[in-house]
Amino acid sequence: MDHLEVALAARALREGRAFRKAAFRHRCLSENPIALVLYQLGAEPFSAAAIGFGHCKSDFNLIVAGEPRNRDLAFAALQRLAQWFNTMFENAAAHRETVPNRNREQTRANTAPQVIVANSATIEMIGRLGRRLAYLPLTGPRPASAELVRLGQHFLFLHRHAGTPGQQLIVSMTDLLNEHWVTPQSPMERQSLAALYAYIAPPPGLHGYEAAASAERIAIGPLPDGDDDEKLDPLVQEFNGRRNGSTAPSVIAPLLAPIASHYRPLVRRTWDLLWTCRDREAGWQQAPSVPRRWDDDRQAYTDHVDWTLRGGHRRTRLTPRQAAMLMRKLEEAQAIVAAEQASDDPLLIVSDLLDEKAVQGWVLRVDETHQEIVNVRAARRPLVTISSPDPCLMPHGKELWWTRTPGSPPYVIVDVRAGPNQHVLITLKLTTSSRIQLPRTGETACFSAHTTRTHWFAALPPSTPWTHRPSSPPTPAPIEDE
Amino acid sequence: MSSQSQLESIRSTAPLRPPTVRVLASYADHTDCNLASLGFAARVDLDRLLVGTKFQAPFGQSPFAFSRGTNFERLLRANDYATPLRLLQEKMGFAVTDARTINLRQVHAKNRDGMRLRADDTRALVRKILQQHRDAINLIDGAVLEATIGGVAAHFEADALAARFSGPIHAGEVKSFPVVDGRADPDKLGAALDQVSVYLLLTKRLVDDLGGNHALVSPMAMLITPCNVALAPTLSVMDVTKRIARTERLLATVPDAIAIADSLPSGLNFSAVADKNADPGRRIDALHDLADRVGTAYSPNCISTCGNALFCRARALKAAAPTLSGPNAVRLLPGVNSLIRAAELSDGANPSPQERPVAEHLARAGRLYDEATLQAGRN
Repeated sequence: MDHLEVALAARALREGRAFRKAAFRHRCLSENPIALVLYQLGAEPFSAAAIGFGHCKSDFNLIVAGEPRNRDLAFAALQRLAQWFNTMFENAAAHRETVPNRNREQTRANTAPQVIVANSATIEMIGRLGRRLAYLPLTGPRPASAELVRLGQHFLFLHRHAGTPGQQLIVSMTDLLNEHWVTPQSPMERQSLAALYAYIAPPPGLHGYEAAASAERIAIGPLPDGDDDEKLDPLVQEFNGRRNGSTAPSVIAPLLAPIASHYRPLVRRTWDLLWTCRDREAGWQQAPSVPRRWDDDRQAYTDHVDWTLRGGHRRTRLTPRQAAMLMRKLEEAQAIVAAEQASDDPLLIVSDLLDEKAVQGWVLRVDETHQEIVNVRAARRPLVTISSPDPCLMPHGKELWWTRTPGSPPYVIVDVRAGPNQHVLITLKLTTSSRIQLPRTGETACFSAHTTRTHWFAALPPSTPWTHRPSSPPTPAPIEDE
Repeated sequence: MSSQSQLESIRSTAPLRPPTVRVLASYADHTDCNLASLGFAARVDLDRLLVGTKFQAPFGQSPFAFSRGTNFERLLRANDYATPLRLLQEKMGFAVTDARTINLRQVHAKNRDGMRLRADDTRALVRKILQQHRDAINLIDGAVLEATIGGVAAHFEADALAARFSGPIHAGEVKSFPVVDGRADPDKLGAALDQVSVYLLLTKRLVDDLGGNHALVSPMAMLITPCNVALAPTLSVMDVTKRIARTERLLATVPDAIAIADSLPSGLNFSAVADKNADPGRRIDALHDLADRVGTAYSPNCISTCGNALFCRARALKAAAPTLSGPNAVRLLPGVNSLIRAAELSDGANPSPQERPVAEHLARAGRLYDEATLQAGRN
């Protein structure tokens, strides 16, 4: 939280509705996403008791496991999901384009599936289910179906990819709303999709606080409400009594109806909310940098599908080398997303302006022909002077990028002085003589510390230093008890 | 009137909550709140106090979650604690052959007298451990530790205390969340470790009290949880030295409950709030009255740990207190009393001298935001 967010939270409390903190939508929302709603049973972390799925609001399907603590019944329910999900998820990989990657070529799916879920707790549950399913043995006394294992691998991939800054393959609606709206709620209260949405779109005449206070009692899943489970308990007991130890589909199927009717309104409520939020956000204009990130997502998706269909597996815990490389990759992705969002969105740059990470003002002068001696030779170094109403506390020599060209060479601050009308005149020097686009006199220009340029990093040592060798490298293994 | 009976008369007909370590661990998060301190000292079950009003705490537990916990505990007690003893042998070097165990929950009744007797037993058992007595117990299930918090003596139930012959004393907690690939849910793990650090702190005090060396109490917390999908138990050991120090600091700041009780006019108690037959509005007014007299300290953390949180949040809303948005908002708004005032300052209102340092930032934020919104609208 910074001064902008606290000012907007204060205004939001006064007005009784949320304030937008971004002018654009910074995530793409696919026309035909895979929507998933999960409910677990009590505190059973690996049990998908109810699964809602479909690819549009009217295509609502529900699967209930009946007794998800029973392995066969839990897997039977997930098997039904796998049949639908795997087809939806893998189909997009069939149509490819060829793209250059350094000095070789690689293929990339023309599009990728997008999974939308209510909150990050659902993504965590997807990760847990993935962990349970992806390493199941395909042979032996209790072989799992290949589809189930593939579902697990897709789930694990989605869970892992969810940590990449700016990714759009799996979208948690709560996080999406939180990235675009400010409400006076505390961070924990903002984790309830119902309460957050109630503040964003309160019913007419109702203050957002009141709307959120009554909405926050609505369970979204995957954690069930205690009272709901209280009603479910006798149904599960009766189900277990009537199936009498059997897990045969012909016995189970006719007995599931009461449990399905218990879950249907609960899952449907989350389903409707998820789609309402999605459709409302889809109405905002998409930010210009979103397609660039979607390209990365398509590549990650293509690599995953190719690896999985070739029979590849992944570790459950990263090696120190993988962890170091991943950390570097995520930090780089984070920096690029921050730079792209700052150059896309005039609202998002405000935090940087307040934080002395950017300056903004009217362009007074552009000296395109300015020259100075660089390594014994005179070279062109254009100067741009802007007039800003706000003080500039950044030191001389600070590297900044014009938000219109965040991937080009930087400017440096060469002069800051007082101007007329309490304005500050800031002169910046471009550090290249290449003919790149320059700001025009009379327009507003913003220079920020964000850049989309990436750094070259030294290669890691060929063998892992002894300080970073784990005592017992865990091997991926099933987590079922036989 | 003795302090204990004075506190009992303050609780009056309100629902009772015996102090467990879980209650203490969650109370430790808001020792700065006088109302919570009074409720804690008077053993008022704040989670059930407002049942039937619009501020009723949403703390219903799923029966499935409950049965998972009890099934797991039953599994551990089976065959005279065979599984925990095996884990203690494998991970802590305990000898299993002559291990002695006791379940104090079965020895004494489940009431206040039982708690006192269990506390006496725990004391005697720990004394034997310290004396390296031949019959010293190795594993105490349901130990009860005595402590004086905020000037009020109370008994706290711990899951397990374990000691190897002539070795350090360990405290352990049984939880039913799973550990997979050596990892657990960080929030649940943190809460469990906080609980164990309360046991360890109280055990240290007990050892001190018995004239022993409190360095004998190990700062390594034992956590027995299921491993993977099923309920197969596993033991994890973690150093909680820092958490013990933090708990000690927090408990040292607990205000004196007797002083708070003394500041109340006689006859003022929780009965009017707890009366389920009364009009809900009246009950809430009675709680407002109490809260006005002793004072509260709402923060959004309260929502997950205190039964009065929704009531206090509504009070904070009335004052538009910055704490509604969390501790970061409070930190960013020194000298500004309400969010409504902060909104005015962001519109460029004239600040008072004490608001001036913050007002400059807010006004600039408001102006830049408004300009950017206009610019975005034009594009």
